[in-house]
Amino acid sequence: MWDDFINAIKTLAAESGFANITLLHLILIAIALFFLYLAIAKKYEPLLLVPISFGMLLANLPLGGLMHPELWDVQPLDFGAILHHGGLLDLLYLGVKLGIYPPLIFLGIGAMTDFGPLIANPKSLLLGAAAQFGIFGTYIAAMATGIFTPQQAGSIAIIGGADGPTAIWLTSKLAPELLGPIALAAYSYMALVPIIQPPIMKALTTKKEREVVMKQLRPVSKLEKILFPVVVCTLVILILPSSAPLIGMFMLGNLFRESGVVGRLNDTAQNALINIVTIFLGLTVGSTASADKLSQPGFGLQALLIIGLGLAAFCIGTAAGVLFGKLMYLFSGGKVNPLIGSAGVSAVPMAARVSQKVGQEANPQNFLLMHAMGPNVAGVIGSAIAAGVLLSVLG
Amino acid sequence: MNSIILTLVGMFVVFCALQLIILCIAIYSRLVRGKAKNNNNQNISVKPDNVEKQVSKNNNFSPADDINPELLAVITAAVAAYMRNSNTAYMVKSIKRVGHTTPIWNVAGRNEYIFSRF
Repeated sequence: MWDDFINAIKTLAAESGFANITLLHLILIAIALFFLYLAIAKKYEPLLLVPISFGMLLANLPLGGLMHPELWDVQPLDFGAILHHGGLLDLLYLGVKLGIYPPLIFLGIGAMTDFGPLIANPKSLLLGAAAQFGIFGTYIAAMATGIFTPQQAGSIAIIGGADGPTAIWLTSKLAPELLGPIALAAYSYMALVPIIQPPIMKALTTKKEREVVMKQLRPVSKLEKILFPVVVCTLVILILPSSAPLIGMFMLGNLFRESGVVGRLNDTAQNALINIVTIFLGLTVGSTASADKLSQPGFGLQALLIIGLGLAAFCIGTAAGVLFGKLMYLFSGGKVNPLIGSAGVSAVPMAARVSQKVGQEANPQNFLLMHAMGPNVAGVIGSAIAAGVLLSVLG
Repeated sequence: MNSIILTLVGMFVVFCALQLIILCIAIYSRLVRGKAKNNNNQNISVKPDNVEKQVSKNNNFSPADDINPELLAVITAAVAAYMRNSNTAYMVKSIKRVGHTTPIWNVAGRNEYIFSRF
């Protein structure tokens, strides 16, 4: 009887996670804990980083059976096998793989976004366009390394859009094998916007330019705000049909907000729905960074390069936005403050807040926030269009 | 496709799409604002001898049609609180936005000075 007891304990021990844990598992668990620390103690994008890092932790606890990377490496995907043998996170990951979560997040973001500053000063859309050079410039750099395929390079480049859902959406279509590191890099850099952007902004502008006080924006009527999502949605989708999921949901959410007749839908989109989808998205994206995945040859080097190129994408996007802002400063006869150009890299509203902060350092009586919100929301539209271009050409 | 060509195509498409949006916003904003201006002119062009008649006809007078009703309620409530009287002895006939030309820090400083005198 004693032997039976000992054998049972031995069997249990052999089947436990402790017996199956590897060094790579431990490293990834340490990284997950580090990201949890950043999210909780430093408050770096906690709404996303907490579920992402916890998903990473769950996926790296051996034999948990929550996520099976091998089910996702088969081409074409065997959805029957995923439904029958997949764990909880495999099932939730279907929402990422099928491109459902990012457009739903865009629905919520649309319901939270006020396009008033953009409608009042439509020229600020150009700053949102210029900042997208970060995406395409990084594409050239990623291709130049010779390590990545065009699809992988496109997915890495989209980090420069500073838009997490867009990065996840495009990567799930073009290079799903890189989803974990790309999502982590995108959200980490978004959280680091206040650290990354100011030195670039200060280096590229003079004190005189930073001190420019911009004219107060005109009030925008309700009708103009209602027309905006309908016009933009129709126009952009007609130009670039591949951007339809993101732009369509983004503008629908905004119409919920501006129409004023669907208060309950608006409330759901900007609160309950976006929170639920964020939990699913964060957990499943984090769970793709598992030891099984990272043990594949060459993946570590790719992940390191993604982190480096992602940073370059952010810097190039910021610089392009500021330089275009300088151009507008020159052509407007000094009426545009070039600092609002850096807000063109999406990251709403963090990038606009950085423009405000740097502007106020130069001139304490300057209020650039509303002026920077225009290029900031234009950046979201611009990065969705850029993602549509990359998907059309590389997909 | 060559990466440089893709970059050029991508930037061209992004700029064209956003430029088209700018154009559309400019057109419909002009139309909407033009229409609003016409409506205002029509309101102003009411003959003086008809004004009294018009006001008495519109007992449910709305001070400013373009003001959000919730904002209107808040301003009216603030006036009522200031007057320490919530009955209907007075009527809000018009609400005008005061031009905000003074820097916000000056306003803050002035308010602080005023409140220090109470």
